[in-house]
Amino acid sequence: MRRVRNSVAAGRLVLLLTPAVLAGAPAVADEASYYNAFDLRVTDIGSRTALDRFVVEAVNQGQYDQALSTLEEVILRNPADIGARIALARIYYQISSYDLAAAHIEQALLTAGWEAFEKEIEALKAKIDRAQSGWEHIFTISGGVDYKNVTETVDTFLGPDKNDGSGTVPYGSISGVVIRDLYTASSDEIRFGGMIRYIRNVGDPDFDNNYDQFDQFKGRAYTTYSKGLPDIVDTLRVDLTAYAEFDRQNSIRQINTYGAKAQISVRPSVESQLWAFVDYGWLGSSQNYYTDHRLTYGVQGEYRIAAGIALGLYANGYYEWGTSPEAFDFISDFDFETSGYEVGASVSHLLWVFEDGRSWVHEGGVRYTNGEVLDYASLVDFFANASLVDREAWEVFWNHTVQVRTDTILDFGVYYGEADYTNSTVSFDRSSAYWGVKGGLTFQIN
Amino acid sequence: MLGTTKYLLAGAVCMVSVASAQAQDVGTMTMEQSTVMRDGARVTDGTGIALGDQLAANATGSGVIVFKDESTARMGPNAVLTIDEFVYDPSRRNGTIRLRQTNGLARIYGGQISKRGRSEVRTPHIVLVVRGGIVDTYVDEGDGNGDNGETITTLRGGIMKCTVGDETRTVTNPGMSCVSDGETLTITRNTQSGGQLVPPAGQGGGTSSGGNYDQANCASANASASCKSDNGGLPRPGTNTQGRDPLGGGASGGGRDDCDPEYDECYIITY
Repeated sequence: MRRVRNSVAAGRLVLLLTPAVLAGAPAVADEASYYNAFDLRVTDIGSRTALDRFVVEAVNQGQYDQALSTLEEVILRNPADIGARIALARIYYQISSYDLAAAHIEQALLTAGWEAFEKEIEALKAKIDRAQSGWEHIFTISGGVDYKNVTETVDTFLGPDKNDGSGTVPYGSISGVVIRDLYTASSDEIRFGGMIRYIRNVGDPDFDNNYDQFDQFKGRAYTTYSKGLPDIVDTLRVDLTAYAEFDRQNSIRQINTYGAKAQISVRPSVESQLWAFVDYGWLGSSQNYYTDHRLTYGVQGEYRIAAGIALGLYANGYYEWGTSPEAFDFISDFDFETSGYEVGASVSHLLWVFEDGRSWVHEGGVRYTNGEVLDYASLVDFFANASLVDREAWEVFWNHTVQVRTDTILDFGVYYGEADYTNSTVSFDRSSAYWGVKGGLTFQIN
Repeated sequence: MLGTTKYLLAGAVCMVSVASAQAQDVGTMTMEQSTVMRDGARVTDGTGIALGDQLAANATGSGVIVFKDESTARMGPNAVLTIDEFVYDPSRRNGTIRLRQTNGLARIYGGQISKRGRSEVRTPHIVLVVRGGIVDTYVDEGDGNGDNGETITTLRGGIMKCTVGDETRTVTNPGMSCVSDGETLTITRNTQSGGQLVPPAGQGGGTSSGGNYDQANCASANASASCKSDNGGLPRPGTNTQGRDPLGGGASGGGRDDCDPEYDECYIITY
């Protein structure tokens, strides 16, 4: 067991360091290349090579405005350049400037030789038409397989002992969102969305010290009103959401949540974004789950370190209260309150752009949580008496997202985590460790 | 070497622009079509543009000015533009650019200054601030006999702030316009396509096909939803940092692969 843990520790280090190493070097080269291309663009006047090179550099650096102004010059010089025309329409579409995107697509269809680009033009035109109608939708279907290995403390005839288990489990989900543009200066919109997810899960969700494989279905439906408040702060937005969620963990537990969430976001600079939220959920209609109310709150930040590299950080807290089916003192005290926090960080990096524009992104991260939860293990004893238990857990992960087609993404990744439960007044201290490898496909329809 | 040159240039541009107005070019006219004039002479491709220059296009004229901070002014029919201020520090990518537009149609593409410093266009009716974006500005100077004309600024990407007198409105939705006669300010949805600044396909000859931008990820046919941008263009991979789910949840371990499309990060990473 010790040997296994040492190799896992080395793996953890690799997981943490690899994205950082991969992320570092290309950024500097990209920036120099961008400035070289700009110098050429303003010195080698009218050179098509110089213009095209700067367009590619600017797009890949995320400098859409510079790419657009250069493409406009290409089109002014040669209005019959259908390749530049389509690129122009596409980037205007990316920044939600649908009128200009439509105008350029219209001209593309009047350009000699457009037939060779018919499929591409039609696909883009359909997207622009939908966006101009004020309704947008995105639907995704995902499916995959997760191999997970779990080591956990279980209660045996001879007392607590470690038990290993593993499983190769499938998962799948369907999600969608419909967005209605309210045509206001501040980009207000309403979103209607939902998600259903199936997981063949592995673990001990009921803390009864028995290793389980079980079917889990989760779902969520929500409506969000998103309002910009740019007259207060340019980039300030507030999102108000009402939602309903269900979580069916086989016959073990059924959790229903009805809640409301308020979130504000702001971009202090073009490279950064901050969020803060507060969320209240009522869980009183759940079965075999005894938290009745949950209040969560937190902040999150994201910073673009360089083109194609983003750093994310978050810190969340929770406060829950409910009523246990068993008393905490064998007699009369059934109510409980728990609280805790979770923090996390990750680095995401655009690892590769294929020759046809498809992308490969990877992300490495870590998260940690510490708090108090109801000790469900205490409720299954013969002489049941409720107890709270301290939970401390952490996880590292490294995920890859490869765009295999315009509408298809291949995800794969590895993860490792540990969790400890201590200081229960009724049951024994226990810990678990898990690691896994997962992979799946996501199809997007929009 | 390149970096050293840029720092020297930074100092040069800052000092010259502030201290002695006229001495150094702050940009280049990279393209001109019949005709754009300066001081009675036609401005040709490659001509340097200096602080204080006033450029005027005729009814069929157009031109592209690229400034040292990568800002671009595309002049359209009857556009009259004056470079009132340009201060740029490349090492910090910050500074101030102020243009004055007194007539005609122009499109302003914000450069590095607009993302960090102050990028401003003044017309007889509106003070416009561009933040990391693209704005069309149309100025009708009026007839001088009681008709003061009007300015219409239309956001094409990013953020613009329109100020008339004491009133300032911020617009973040592309296609929305500020309209002012110098007295009042209204926000409307512009249903026009900006067609005057979209060259017709049959105009000007040239050859078809041409550019291939597949190497430009977000300009290719394979561009994904992660390329969408609501701030004038800074696509980047998102991070799964919502931390909404408890840890150790079986197949949901390893980041938030069950992320919800409600969150922007999920748009970016999932689709």
